[in-house]
Amino acid sequence: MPEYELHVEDREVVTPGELLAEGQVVASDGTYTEGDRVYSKVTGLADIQGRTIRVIPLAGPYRPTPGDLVVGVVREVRFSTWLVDIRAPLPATLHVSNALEEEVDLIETDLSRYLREGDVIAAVVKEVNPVQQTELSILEEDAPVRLGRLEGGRVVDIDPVKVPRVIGREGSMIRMLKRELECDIIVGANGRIYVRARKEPKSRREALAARALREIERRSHLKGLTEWLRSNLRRLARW
Amino acid sequence: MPEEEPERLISEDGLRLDGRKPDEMRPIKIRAGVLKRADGSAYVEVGANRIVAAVYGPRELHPRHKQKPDRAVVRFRYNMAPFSVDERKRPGPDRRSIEISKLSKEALEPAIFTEYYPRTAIDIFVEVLQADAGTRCAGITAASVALADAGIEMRDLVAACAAGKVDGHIVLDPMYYEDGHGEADVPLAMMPKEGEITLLQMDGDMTPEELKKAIRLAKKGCKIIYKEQRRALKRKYGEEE
Repeated sequence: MPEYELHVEDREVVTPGELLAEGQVVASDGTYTEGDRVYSKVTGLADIQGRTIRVIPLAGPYRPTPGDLVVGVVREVRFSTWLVDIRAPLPATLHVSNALEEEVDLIETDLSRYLREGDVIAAVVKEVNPVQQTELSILEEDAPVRLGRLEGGRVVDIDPVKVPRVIGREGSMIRMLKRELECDIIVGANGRIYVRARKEPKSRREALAARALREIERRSHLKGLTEWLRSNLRRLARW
Repeated sequence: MPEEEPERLISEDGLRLDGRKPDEMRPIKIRAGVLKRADGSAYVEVGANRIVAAVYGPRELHPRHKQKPDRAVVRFRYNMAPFSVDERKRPGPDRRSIEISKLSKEALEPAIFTEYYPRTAIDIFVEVLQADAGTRCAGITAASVALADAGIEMRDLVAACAAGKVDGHIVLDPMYYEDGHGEADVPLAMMPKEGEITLLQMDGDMTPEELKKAIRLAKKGCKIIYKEQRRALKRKYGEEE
């Protein structure tokens, strides 16, 4: 007598309200339970590992999670904070205490001395409270990239659910792109990607990187995408 | 539809003007993700109805005093194109479309986990390009697919379908002529997983028994639509059942 019963296969596309499993299973992201029944709450791919079941969404907004590295655009400078667009349903706040090492006299200082409207920044999501107020920081010591204002380069927005594809298995895709295009690339978990070429011709390299990222977004459902892209980079460059 | 006034809406052998049996639906077609700029979208055909739904959000809600601190606000706009009916429809919201917008919103809201998106708005737009009776139901059907296409977290899809009374017979999914010349119309929306009804109206007169029969029939129609909704979403990601 099995303790649980699965109603879908691994990697199957499921829709909201679809019954995934019954019994003693671990219901993870993208699911909800009623009694011992597990249902999907999004359109996505069922991912079954042992008795853990989750649904990987195929669409949807970016939901900030503490620890995420994001690329944001400063939208508004306020008295003691900056409002930053991180492509979440609501803008995030960056407080001076999470942005500047030194003390500043807020009465005397206009914060746009440090960051102005329109500036692009790399930041880490520090906290998300129950009403989705999101606090950013650019002072995290152990961040994977240098945080703060990003200068030069360009920004490409892709669907946030496709970010794992841009990174690739253990970072294979992003490593390949950085190497082949000789660009620095910062992939925000929010689907905003910052690209800056290390070598001339810079704008051409960056444009090619943008095209490659769009191509990843468009072909995200295909297998062996890293290899395909590596061998087609030259062709993309000619477009 | 008929050139001349037909004497009866149901023939002696029990068939309707368009040849359907009383419990038969019109052909349905649903596509998910038809608009590029919307966060989610859907196109629905039910008989000669042609409807597009678009979903935007969850996104920041202005003015701020309309925000709910603990959940998203769902806004629904039902609109008929001026060319969607025989006689030109005066553009813009009227009494009827304001009513339909309100009840469509209320039909969909129970399915959405609004508490996951505090202080935001989820905007749903339904445009009727061609009307053939039952547009409010087809609009809800389309909007629900568009919501799922936008990746918004939901308990279930919402399927909607009408039943009606024509020449004393209870029929499923009345078409334009039956709606105009019949005795009653009963639109119904439900979350088929649990069979929860989120919209039920009755325009016209029916006995309690007839109403029960109409609800049973409309529920049956919703289940057929539900299957099509799910197929449309799966088809978008290349999985044909």
